[in-house]
Amino acid sequence: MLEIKDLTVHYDGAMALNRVSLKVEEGEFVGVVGPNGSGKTTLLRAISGVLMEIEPGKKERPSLSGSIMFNGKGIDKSKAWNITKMGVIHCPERRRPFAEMTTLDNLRMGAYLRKNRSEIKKDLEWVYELFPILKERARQMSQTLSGGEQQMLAIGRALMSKPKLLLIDEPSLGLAPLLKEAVLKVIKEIWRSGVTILLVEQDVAITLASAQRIYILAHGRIATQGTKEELMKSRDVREIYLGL
Amino acid sequence: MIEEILVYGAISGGMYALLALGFTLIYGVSGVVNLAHGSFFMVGTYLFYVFGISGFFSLIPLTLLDPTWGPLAALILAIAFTGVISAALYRIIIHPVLGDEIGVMVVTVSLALIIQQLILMIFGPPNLRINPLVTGSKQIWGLGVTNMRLLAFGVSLILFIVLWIFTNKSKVGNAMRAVSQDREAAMLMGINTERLYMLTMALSAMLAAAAGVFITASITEYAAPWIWLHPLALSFSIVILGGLGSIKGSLLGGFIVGYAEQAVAIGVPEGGSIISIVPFTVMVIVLLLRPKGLFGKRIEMED
Repeated sequence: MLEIKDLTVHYDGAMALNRVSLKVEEGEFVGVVGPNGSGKTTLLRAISGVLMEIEPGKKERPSLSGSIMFNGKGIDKSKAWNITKMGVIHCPERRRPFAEMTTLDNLRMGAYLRKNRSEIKKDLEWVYELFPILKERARQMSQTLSGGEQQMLAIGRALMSKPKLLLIDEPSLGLAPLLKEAVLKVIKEIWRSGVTILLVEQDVAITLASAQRIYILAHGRIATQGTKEELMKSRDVREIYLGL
Repeated sequence: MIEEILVYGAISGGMYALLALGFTLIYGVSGVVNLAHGSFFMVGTYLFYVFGISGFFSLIPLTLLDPTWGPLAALILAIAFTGVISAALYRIIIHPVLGDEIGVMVVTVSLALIIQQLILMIFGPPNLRINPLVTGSKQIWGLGVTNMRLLAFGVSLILFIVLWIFTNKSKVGNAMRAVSQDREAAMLMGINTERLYMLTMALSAMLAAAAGVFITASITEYAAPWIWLHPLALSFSIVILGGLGSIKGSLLGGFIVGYAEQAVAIGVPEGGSIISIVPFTVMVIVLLLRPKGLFGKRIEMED
């Protein structure tokens, strides 16, 4: 479904990603773990296309080489909104809700490109089912939500975009252990409903507990990859990268 | 005297608020500080002159058109054309330098000067008379107020309501709000920001054009190739005193400046001659009390 080959990104004069190759098959749950600054967020922003968009006040554009294919089509030159249209939905780091909109309006923004009202309504009910607290907070400004609620909102908003491939950036960031578990449980449920997932995390335990296949990213490179069992077999991987 | 300030202040305040709303809108959505904003005020006015006053309609046999509808048709055409011109200029000239804030200012101020020279070449230096769209006057609180000024006030109120509904209820309006709150998240929702910026520029310029036609037709009654500078200074000071990017701020700021100008013009001896320093004086006073403007957000670091 997603195939990345030799992706190299230079950003502000530094190399953020160095010949990263990665593959996600349809229906898979793939994890990428790596410490802060290893290039995880850059990877997802490159896939969803926002990395290369012109923004006011962003003088230098990063340079990107290599290829990103989604369902056999190259998307590394595509506009972010066209990539969203294809069903590659990016749930960004730090949640980024629209602060001055209500929870409900945020969820509706997720369905921005969709037309079929009854389907949108069905998905909204599904999101409320997954995160009942969002229904309670529907009329509340999203900036008044707690960190955990905002994370749920971000995932819910991504679901409203009807993802085929869902890219999730550090959902555990700043959450209490119990909340982490709860959010993870829902992500798994979303995966079981048929959405392919690429999860990027700093939290090794969470990734090991959920992903079928895991890539380890370090200093912008893929250090190694494999299933949980394969990774745990090697003592070096365990000690150096996973800290277990 | 109080009545005069209240009535005339409200009329020019409404127009100023429209003008400033356009400036705020394009800044809030695309981050563009459009120093050519006043030029669209002027372009709108000249187009209105071309369509409505120069006898344009007598050139093409618009037999279907009742002559009394001529000014209205000219108004709509002037506003629409300004929108199209601004969108094209945005795409060709401003968009390529969008990432560079200084570049945007250089480009837009150059644009303003080019438009000024073009108008000077086409229409020449003399002032052109802009007639009111409607004639007659009414008594309000014992003051004779021209119907044209009342119309201008009414139109500004209607446009505020339309604009409010548009930004809060329509799909494009929602997209504008989303982009102004979080550009990157908005792109991830599938919002085509390139197209949205262009649309916003058109809307912004159309507000300036509407303000241009109504201010010139109701208050100053002439057009000249330099009537972009004062509107630009007005929008700039109103938007800054209201708080950058705040719609509420521009609305309130427009009325504050409108009232302040009238208060000086009417209440101060020889006040009419110092009216042009009023907007910036008000701005400085507000900024001294509230450095981020009336409704300004605190400036946050990004990433």
